[in-house]
Amino acid sequence: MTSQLAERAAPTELTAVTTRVVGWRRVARSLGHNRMAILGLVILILEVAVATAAPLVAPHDPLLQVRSERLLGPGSVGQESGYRYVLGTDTLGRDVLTRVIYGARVSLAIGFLAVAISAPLGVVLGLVSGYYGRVVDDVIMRIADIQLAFPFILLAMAVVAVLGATARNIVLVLGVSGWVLYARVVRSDVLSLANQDFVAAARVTGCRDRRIIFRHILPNVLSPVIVLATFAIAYMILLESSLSFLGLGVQPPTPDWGSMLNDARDYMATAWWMSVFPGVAIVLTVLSVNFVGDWLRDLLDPREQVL
Amino acid sequence: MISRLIARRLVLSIFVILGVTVVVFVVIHLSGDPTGLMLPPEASEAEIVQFRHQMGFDQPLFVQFWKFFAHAVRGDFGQSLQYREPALGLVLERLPATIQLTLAALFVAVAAAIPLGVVSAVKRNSIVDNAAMFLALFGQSMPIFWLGIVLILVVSVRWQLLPSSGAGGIQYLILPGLTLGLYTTARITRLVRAEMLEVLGQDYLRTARAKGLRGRTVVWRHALRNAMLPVITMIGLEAGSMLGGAIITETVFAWPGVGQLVVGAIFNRDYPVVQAAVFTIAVMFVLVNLGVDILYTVIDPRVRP
Repeated sequence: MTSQLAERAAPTELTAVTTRVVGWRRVARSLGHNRMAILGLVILILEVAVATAAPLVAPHDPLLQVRSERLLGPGSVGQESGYRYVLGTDTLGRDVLTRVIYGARVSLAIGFLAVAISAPLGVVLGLVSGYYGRVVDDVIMRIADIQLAFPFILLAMAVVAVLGATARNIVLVLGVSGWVLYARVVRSDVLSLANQDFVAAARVTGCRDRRIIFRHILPNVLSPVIVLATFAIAYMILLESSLSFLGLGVQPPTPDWGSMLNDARDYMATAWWMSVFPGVAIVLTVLSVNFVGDWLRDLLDPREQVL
Repeated sequence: MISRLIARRLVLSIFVILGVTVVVFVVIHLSGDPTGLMLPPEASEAEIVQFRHQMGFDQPLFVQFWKFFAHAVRGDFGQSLQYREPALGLVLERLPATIQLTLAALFVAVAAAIPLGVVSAVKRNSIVDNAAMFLALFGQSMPIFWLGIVLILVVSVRWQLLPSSGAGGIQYLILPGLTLGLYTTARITRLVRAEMLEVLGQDYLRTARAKGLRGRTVVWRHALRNAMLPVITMIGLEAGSMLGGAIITETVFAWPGVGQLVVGAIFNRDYPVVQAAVFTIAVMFVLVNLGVDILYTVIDPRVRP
């Protein structure tokens, strides 16, 4: 539901023709001042690297079960296999560290892909809604209102349950239903821009609508979208792990932080390491993304409220 | 004048609820014939045909929707496939527990966040401020279910202080309430701090200080009052989105609310209950947002049309 608080103020800076959002030197300088953002970026880059190179980096096979070495604590060495389990083993004798590393693949991939789908979708719908106004705007915004009436996770749960819990479906559901946030923000900015002189000038010169939208209006609305998209990645990762925790996400035996935590629930008294390390991984990832998002917001969108 | 805005919001809310009904109906049919969803895979051909006819799935979609809508308006979402009781009845039975949990979490959030935010703003860049802001960011980066698990691990298993699941007296409400409330606490703390910072720099406060009012009075009576408006709005909005978080919290703590019911129903393929629950939660969400909008017009006279 729309609430006045959700509407945003008009932008004050315009770049009429260039598509550059902000200069590189300013980016570098701003980053240099923000230690948390640097830390966040470093952690994320490391995670992506480790996740991509998982088969090379991980000490063991994530699916390998050594039944005689179940529920071993962190740092123990397997009696039968001689393996060193840095973070312990789980209830089926699988190495926790390896599964945490492989779990990063799922979470990062789904997080990024979901945003890669929802952001362009939302931006386009927001542009169309704001520029063409009236009926189109009304229809799109009413659909947004209806979709927003459902708590995101509930909608995702219901759709995934009906369609089947596969990685592909999860990405689709998260991607398709995530458009509203971007659409609202973009629409608000477009509404304030569409009446400006440079748009009228472009129209007078004979530019067709599509050119006006993409060449002139879009670059000016991109800043808040980049900030939103960054925070959305964090949110999608949390959402994906929540779905998996409930059993509606990526199915076992694929390693996934959320489902690892679900498995850990029955063993909280006996194997605390199962409950701790996947969660730490999630928090570390999301925190890093949020640091980067905070930095980007300070850089690109200083009038945004601190929320 | 006020009533015109409220009337408009009311109409919009009704429209949204109608849309919710459509979505709740469509979701079940997303993969085609819902019979396959609801029956176990071993069902015989005869059973499938009978079930399909019984539930009306062999009729054209429009007819099905009309029937669904006509029944939904009367509160009839069919019978639970699991419990053989009216689906909506099951949901409404569990609703008070969810509301209780949500209110507890809201209470925790507001009681903790407002003082924390005010102190952070007044003592800007102090240790308290930096710690609070870091904790707030941390709290927003933690998955709810993990927070719940960690709390259970430490408080229930290690220290044996509080029960880890179920409902009963207030000791059962503490951990779930804290878990559900942390995210909102973080958000509200940040907002209160930001609003207070803005308000504290304003001229009318300088006047109050020049008049000789003590710092404390200035902060609490004058500054906080004016900073509260967006905070109140956020509290209302968070109450709505907490309904989503409650689903997870209830699952972690086996709290007997609607959330736990919904998750169970999904796994047991009890789709009438799923429909009833999704519908109820969405309607509550809409009503809460409507309430927030109305509250906003009442509190801030500048907003009225």
